[in-house]
Amino acid sequence: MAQDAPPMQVELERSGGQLPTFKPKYVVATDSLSSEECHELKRLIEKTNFFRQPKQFSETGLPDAFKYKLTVQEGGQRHSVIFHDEDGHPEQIDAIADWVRSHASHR
Amino acid sequence: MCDHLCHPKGACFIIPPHMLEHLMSHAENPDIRKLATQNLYLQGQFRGMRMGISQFAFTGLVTGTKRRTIYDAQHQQQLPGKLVRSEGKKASQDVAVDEAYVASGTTYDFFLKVYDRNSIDARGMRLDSTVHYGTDYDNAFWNGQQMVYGDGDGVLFDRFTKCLDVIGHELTHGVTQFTAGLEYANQPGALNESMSDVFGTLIKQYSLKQSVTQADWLIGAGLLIPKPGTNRTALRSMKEPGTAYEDPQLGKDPQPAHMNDYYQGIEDNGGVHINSGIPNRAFYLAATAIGGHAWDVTGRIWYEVLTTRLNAESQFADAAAATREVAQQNYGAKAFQAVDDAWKTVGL
Repeated sequence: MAQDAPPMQVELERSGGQLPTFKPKYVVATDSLSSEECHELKRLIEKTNFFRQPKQFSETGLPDAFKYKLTVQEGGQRHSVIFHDEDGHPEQIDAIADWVRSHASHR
Repeated sequence: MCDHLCHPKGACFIIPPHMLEHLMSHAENPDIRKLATQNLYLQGQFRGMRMGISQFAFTGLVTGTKRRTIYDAQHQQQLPGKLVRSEGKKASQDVAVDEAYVASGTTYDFFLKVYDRNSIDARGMRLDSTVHYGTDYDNAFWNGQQMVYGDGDGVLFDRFTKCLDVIGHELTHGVTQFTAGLEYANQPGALNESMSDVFGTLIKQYSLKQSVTQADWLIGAGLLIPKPGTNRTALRSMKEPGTAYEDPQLGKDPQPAHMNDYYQGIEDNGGVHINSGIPNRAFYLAATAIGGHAWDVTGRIWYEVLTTRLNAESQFADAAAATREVAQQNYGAKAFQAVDDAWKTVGL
């Protein structure tokens, strides 16, 4: 973990799609990441201005689409954003979600 | 009321469709293009999809012929992506591109030859598909205007272009959008899902020239990557709802086969992929009782009901009553008895 950085945890929960029973949750915590990975994750979150994103993007009603909940906890701050496939959310949010999915412990 | 593109459901639509269409095609910012596309879909959904979307869908198109266009999202989530194959062009070196092309053509041919329906909107709408959407994306969906396919994660899910019935399922969401317009929640949503499964499997059976006894009545067989000690047969079973998969990671197929086990919760938009097992099984039972090719008599009954009898708020009981009525009026006592018995068996 990077020295002097406040601890951060990022969670991605996914539901919807073809299988209603399959709702994977991915978690990354900075204390288990390398310094380089910590910087990369923080850069993505800052670039997205994540803590100023709306809590929810409007439900699309698109058949079979996914719904996501992305939560970032850093120090005393905690913010969650709910978004869906093709609901118009900024693509930088997808970048965070992809990063978390590829670096997380899956449960 | 809202004054921006991204708004809560039910808020005003301040931007007219023609402006959204322009934004969708010309806005420099991809997020604005996506918002405009989404907003156009929502406007169509709320105001009557045939007004909103079909106007867009016909822009610059010749109707009455099969028109397929395949795009590659190149693992991004921006639609439609890079054009990689259009109608009449030779096969690519990319299996997902060619599967999407062939299967959308099979779906077009099925609806035209069997039900005299010219594409999903009945007016020759071009069939657009995007493959390689996102990274390891475990899904396929219809976005109101086109098909979107992920590659799967390679561990649980294979590529979503692999199964003709899954492609037929998604394109049938388009047919439903332009006809009954079934809301995607609760019983109307489960009927929406069921209609997609019905015509998805009929497209597969038609392609394979299978009779009702030869068909497997599975949706997405082969899409889940097999693993010893688990059941990853398919996404759904119309014959035996609740038996398609059971796996520590995926969970257990939750579909009921009878109204006694109807799911009452709010997950999955009120159980659209869960309770669809009930009308799915009714179709299977009716089709096997009537016999022959399921797309023929039984499929025609369901097609007429989808396209002329149901509406956005239709319930299971409405579908049951309408299919009974169409069977009686158009196909006689034997068909009526088969349909009546099928619905009674599932508790309707």
